[in-house]
Amino acid sequence: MLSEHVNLDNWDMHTTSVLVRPPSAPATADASLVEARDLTRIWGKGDAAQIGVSGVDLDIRSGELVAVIGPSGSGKSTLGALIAGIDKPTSGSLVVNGTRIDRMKTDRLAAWRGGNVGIVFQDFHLLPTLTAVENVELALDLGTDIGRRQRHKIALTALDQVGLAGHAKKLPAQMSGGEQQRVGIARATVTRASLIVADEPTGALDQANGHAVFELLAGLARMGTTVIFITHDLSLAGAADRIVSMIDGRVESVTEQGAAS
Amino acid sequence: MKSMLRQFRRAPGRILASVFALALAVGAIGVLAIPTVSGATLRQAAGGQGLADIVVDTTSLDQSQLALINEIDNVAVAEGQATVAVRLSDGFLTRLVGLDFDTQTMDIVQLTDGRLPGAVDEVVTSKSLGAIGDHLVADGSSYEIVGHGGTLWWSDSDVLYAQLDTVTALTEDGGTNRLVITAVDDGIDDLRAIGDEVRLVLQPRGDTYTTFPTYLPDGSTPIDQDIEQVSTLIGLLGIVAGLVALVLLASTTNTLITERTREVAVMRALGGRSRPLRRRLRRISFGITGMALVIGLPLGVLISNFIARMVLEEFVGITPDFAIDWRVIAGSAIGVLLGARLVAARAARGVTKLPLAEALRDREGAPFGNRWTHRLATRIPTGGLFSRIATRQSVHRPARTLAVVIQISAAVGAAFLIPSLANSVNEFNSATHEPWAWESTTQARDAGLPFSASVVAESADAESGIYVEGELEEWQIDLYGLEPDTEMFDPMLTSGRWISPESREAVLSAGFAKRNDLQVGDTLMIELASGEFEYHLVGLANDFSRTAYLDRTDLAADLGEPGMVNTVWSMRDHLDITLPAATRTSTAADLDADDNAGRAAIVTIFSAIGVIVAGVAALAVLSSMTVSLFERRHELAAMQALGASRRRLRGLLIRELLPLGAIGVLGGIILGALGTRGIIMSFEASNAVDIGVVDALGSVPLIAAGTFAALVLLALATVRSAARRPVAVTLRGAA
Ligand SMILES: Nc1ncnc2c1ncn2[C@@H]1O[C@H](COP(=O)(O)OP(=O)(O)OP(=O)(O)O)[C@@H](O)[C@H]1O
Ligand SMILES: [Mg+2]
Repeated sequence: MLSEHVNLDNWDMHTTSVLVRPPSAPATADASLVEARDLTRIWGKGDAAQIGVSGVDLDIRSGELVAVIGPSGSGKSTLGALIAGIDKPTSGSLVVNGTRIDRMKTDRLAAWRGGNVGIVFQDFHLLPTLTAVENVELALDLGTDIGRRQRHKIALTALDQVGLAGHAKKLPAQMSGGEQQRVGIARATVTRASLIVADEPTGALDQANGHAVFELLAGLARMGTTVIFITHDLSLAGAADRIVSMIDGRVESVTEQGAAS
Repeated sequence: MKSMLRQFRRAPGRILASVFALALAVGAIGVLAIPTVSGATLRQAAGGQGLADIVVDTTSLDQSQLALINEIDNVAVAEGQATVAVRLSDGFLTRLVGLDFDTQTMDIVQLTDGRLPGAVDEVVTSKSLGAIGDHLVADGSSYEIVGHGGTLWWSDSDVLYAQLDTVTALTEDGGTNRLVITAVDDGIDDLRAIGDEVRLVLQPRGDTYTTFPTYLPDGSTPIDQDIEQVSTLIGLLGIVAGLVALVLLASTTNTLITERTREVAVMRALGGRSRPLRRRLRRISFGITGMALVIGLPLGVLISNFIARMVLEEFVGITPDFAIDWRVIAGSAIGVLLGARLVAARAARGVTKLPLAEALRDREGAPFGNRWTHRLATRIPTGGLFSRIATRQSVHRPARTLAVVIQISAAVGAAFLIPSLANSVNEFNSATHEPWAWESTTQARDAGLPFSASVVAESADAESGIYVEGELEEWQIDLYGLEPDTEMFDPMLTSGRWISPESREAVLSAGFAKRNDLQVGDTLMIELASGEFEYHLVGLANDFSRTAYLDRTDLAADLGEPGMVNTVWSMRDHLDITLPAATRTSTAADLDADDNAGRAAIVTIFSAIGVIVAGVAALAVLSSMTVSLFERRHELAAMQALGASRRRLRGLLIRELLPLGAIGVLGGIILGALGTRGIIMSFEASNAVDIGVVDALGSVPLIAAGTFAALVLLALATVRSAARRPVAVTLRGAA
């Protein structure tokens, strides 16, 4: 059942034989990939101010699988967006993969994202006019220098990874929510970025597929990719290296989980 | 209203863009009101001062002859006036116009200040000739200016109005030499009947008309014809503006409604019934249209009055009052509301009929992938991913794509039509001058043939001849009486031969002959001031006008003054002999300058309208693009999240716009070329002359470059504003 959807066996073949660029490895094995200091994001001013996150200090090591949990509205997505470089903090500093991204200009930040982060959105955000495989190719087009032919092959393999080999030519409107979610995951992982931020990537999936996706991300983490995994599913979170628990925009606790998974 | 406000708060930029574009488009329809607005002014002016139905210059008449004319059937009033050409001390050539201020019912001077002349040495004139109290010396006599004012008839020239006695003292025999008549029935046939009758009444005493009578049937004014053509053109451009407005309206309405597909689906899922939902959807478009009308209608009134003022001041020399054409206002309001209602009804039906499940899934209106066109576009792997997105986007929203193409076409069409018209008029002007070899023409200022043909006998580089107006096949035509072996005119014959001496032969403009089915060998019945005369058509001239060339001896005899002429043409730019009458000399350069000024005025007016049409279309494209980008903001943000720089997003938009721009430019050039032909052909038909079209092909690269530059700028500006918010903020709004 599980392997019918998500084929993990192919992963190594794909990464070693097709992908030209080696997975970006951190400089030192135990270095911090993410360093957030007093990270704050507030919308509006004065009485109308809405706090997304405030005063967050957080270090995430390379190759770590971190689960972020917390009640709705606690700031998980906000934190994820800041770390992924698609939002800018109101104050505080943020270094990701050795680059200080909180003060970066729009276009440099975009280029940085393309090469360094894979993002899985809570609500997919596939391009409606592109097919599944084209959506995955787009990430390679924007984030890497890989040529067109190669790109197509790699994208097909990535779709195969998430069990969508037969759906490559479907448009988003012709796929189910879970299928779209898995295209989103393929799109986020295909560039082999050193950081993946996944905001509730299993929200639209059944349990089996949810586990499979988690395994996929965990496998990437074992190979050196840092994964930030935002979830409401405590059983999945329990399998992560660390659990960051948030409440009211603050990090309430960080739990190390020893040799999990 | 409340929902309207909520709507507005939700997307102020988009709504404002739509409302303004639509308002400007509605305003532009206002140009259709120009003819009415200017017509109202003219009729008002005409009514106030008693415009005659027939105006004609005559040989000198006395009171008893006027009394006889007053007894003719259907004549309400016939009055005598007097006019003579005079030269002011500063060399300015003008006329003294003598009116019987006590009894006159026609051509009543409208004073702006001062009073009417009360003594023989007092005059009323326009402000430009002097202040009240100033003295003017005309042909040696001094006149005091006692008032400022004028009449519609003389509105384009600065003349001196004096008591009738002042002027009759200067005419031959001391009689009146201008006849104005008001008829009881003023149809054109009634007026012609009077004209013929008067001629008979004058005959026994040897008197004749000295000019061809001007008939103003059915309450028309002498400048109606001048502005009628301009009005036709303006109307054509108004229709283009209206078309742009309707396209814009359709695409805006369509978008505003289809983007609510999901919202409506939720309401339907919760039990909302289709009918009230449809009504609510229609109300949205109604609100937008209403706001646009509130701004657009007054704007239209302003635009029409502004252009009417330009036209009237330029062509007639009067400043019109502010006027409103309620028919155009009502017409555009009803048209726009009805159009909105139709499009809204159709779009609303589409939205409420879409299967619920499908509608609920979709975030941004109709999903991509449901139509065969979408699937076809998906199957064609055109170029890179960005090109595919661009192509499919255009296929996804065919209505908007079409609207953008039409709007670009309209702008380009207007931009191409104006230089083409200017070019054609330009070419036409030089073509009409081409047959003439003279450098200057000197013409008698007064009617009649005042000097002998032999006045230029000693001058080697001058020729004498006749220029008068006449009528042929119910068209007013120019008549030239030339020496048969003239060196002043090269007829450039397209068929037949040139006239031979004293054999009653005529050469006629080829275009005019063609339009009236006249062929070489036909007999022409030419009507002159003195009556109807037969000529044999022996040749056709390629002269782009409405002219008959006759032997000057034949023509002088027909006009009742054998051996006399009224014009001298010279190879030099001045005349070194003095002529025994008041004359005016114009050089070829003067006439060119006149033509240029006239053309500049026409081009200015049409440029103004063209700028409005092009502006409306540009704003419409802008509004369509704003709407389109708003719809796709999540898509663009998602691309940014994946690492797309603003440059690449711009690239995407440009890739989307350029093909539309290219088709739009092509369509616009065709539209403009057809429009130019249509306008010129209507001119040719209404004037019975050849004009010819010269497309402004030189402007095509400029127009194309301008269009593409505008589209690139549009892409720059929209991406700039779209990328201002952090990606995460834009994406959040998607859920
Ligand atoms: N663009 C925004 N403008 C104003 N407030 C915002 C914005 N984005 C987030 N917030 C606020 O920030 C807080 C945190 O939101 P966030 O989306 O990070 O929560 P979350 O933990 O991801 O919740 P969920 O589990 O429901 O996804 C919320 O109170 C939210 O209202
Ligand atoms: Mg969230």
